[in-house]
Amino acid sequence: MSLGIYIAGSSGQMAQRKLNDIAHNLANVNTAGFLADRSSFTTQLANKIEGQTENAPSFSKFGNQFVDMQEGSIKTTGNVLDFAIQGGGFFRVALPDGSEAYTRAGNFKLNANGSLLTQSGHSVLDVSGNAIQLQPGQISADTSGGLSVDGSKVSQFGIVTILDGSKVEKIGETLMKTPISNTESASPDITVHQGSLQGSNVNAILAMTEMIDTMRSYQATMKVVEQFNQQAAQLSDKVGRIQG
Amino acid sequence: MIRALWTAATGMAAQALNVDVIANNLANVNTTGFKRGRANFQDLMYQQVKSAGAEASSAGTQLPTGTQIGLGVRTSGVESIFLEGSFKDTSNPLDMAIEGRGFFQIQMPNGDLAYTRAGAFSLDSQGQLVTADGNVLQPAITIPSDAMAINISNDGTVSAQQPGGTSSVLGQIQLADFSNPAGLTHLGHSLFHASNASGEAITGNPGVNGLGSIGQGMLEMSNVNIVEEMVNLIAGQRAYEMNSKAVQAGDEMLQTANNIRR
Repeated sequence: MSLGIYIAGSSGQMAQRKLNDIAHNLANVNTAGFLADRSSFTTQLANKIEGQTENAPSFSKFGNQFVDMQEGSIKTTGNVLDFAIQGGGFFRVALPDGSEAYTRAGNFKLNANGSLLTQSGHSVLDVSGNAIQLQPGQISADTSGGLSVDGSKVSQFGIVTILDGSKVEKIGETLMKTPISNTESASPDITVHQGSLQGSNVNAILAMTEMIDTMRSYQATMKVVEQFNQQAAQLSDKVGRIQG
Repeated sequence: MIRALWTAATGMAAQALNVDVIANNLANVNTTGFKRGRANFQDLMYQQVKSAGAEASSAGTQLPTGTQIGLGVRTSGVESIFLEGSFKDTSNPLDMAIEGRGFFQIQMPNGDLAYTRAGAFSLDSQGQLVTADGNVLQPAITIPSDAMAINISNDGTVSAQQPGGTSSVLGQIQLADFSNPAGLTHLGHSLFHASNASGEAITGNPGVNGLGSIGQGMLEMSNVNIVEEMVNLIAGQRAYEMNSKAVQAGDEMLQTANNIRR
């Protein structure tokens, strides 16, 4: 078979992959603190036939993936245990294995002992890496991330910024992991807002446009595959047939 | 097959649940003491195709970034939001509203205690204060049949004015509080039940130790904000629609692939 059919096929596979990312982003269009996945594609040289290096046929290949670090829109909920970070920071969260993860989903809850937890029950950490504990009472937060109960300050949110969005690994539950070297403690221009939540940063219009684009380019590459198929059919059908 | 089909299906399921919760909030917009719910979502686990930092070549170079494929969304929980609802003056002497934290304690027929903020009480045949379903308020308070007026003070002291101008104290209402009210279980009938997540009930007199005070002749309305629910309904429905479009796109791509070979 001709090489072209495989090249068109590889491009079709990448379109499927891209659609999957788009579907994942769209599925999370209403998930608080969700950051969109983006991927890029690259080319891989098929082979260097006849010393041809320029305009050589090349496959489409999955390049890299990164997390879109843009801020989602902040909406007011009025709930005492909802916190939004403005300025691109992340809350520090302890995982059961002792390591740390980061999240922008500030829809926290308390357990019976007064520990501040994420929706999936992981402890939220303070500035020195200890789990935040709040006694019953009126909980308030100032814009620098200080937490007070009944007016007296008891804790301070641990907030970091992530330097390189491509070195981030998502682990589900709106949590992300990244090496400590890729984080930096938050600068003073990052503010915390109580009673607000940061929504998903998925841009629905962009995602829908990308979806149409992906679908059409998939259809186009499949047309190419079809052409190659017809060509091959003609080859086996017509060439060698004795006419007359 | 195309993963996007299932990924988008998780999105549709999540948004359907979101609309369910919003519908329940809207249905209870006029329910005394109702606390609105909110569905919280999280992204599902990721399929690891290549992990960042894996060896990229025999020369020891490392992949700077990994490849992870997201598989959609899941519901992390439907949370009750215990913000105070607005108060309504009813002038009914047996209506009570809690201004601040706390719950009325209600004795269930099976002996368990349930908790509510719906303070529309009535009297039963023995003169006891009961909820609309006939469950007794704890500690039980019996109003004498010859009471001319009932007075409930801010600290929950119930007194009755009897013929001859005498006023007698009948008891004091106690409130219960929880370190995590959002962890309470809904029982229906505007009642809540304590759970492991809510912690044990901490009881006390109204107005003391952070507990709210009692307002007689008032009712706490639901804390549902109609405009907010409507906006959430629109967002939820549109998100559902977008996800259905992703299913459609996946379907059309499969169809295209099927049509290559006629």
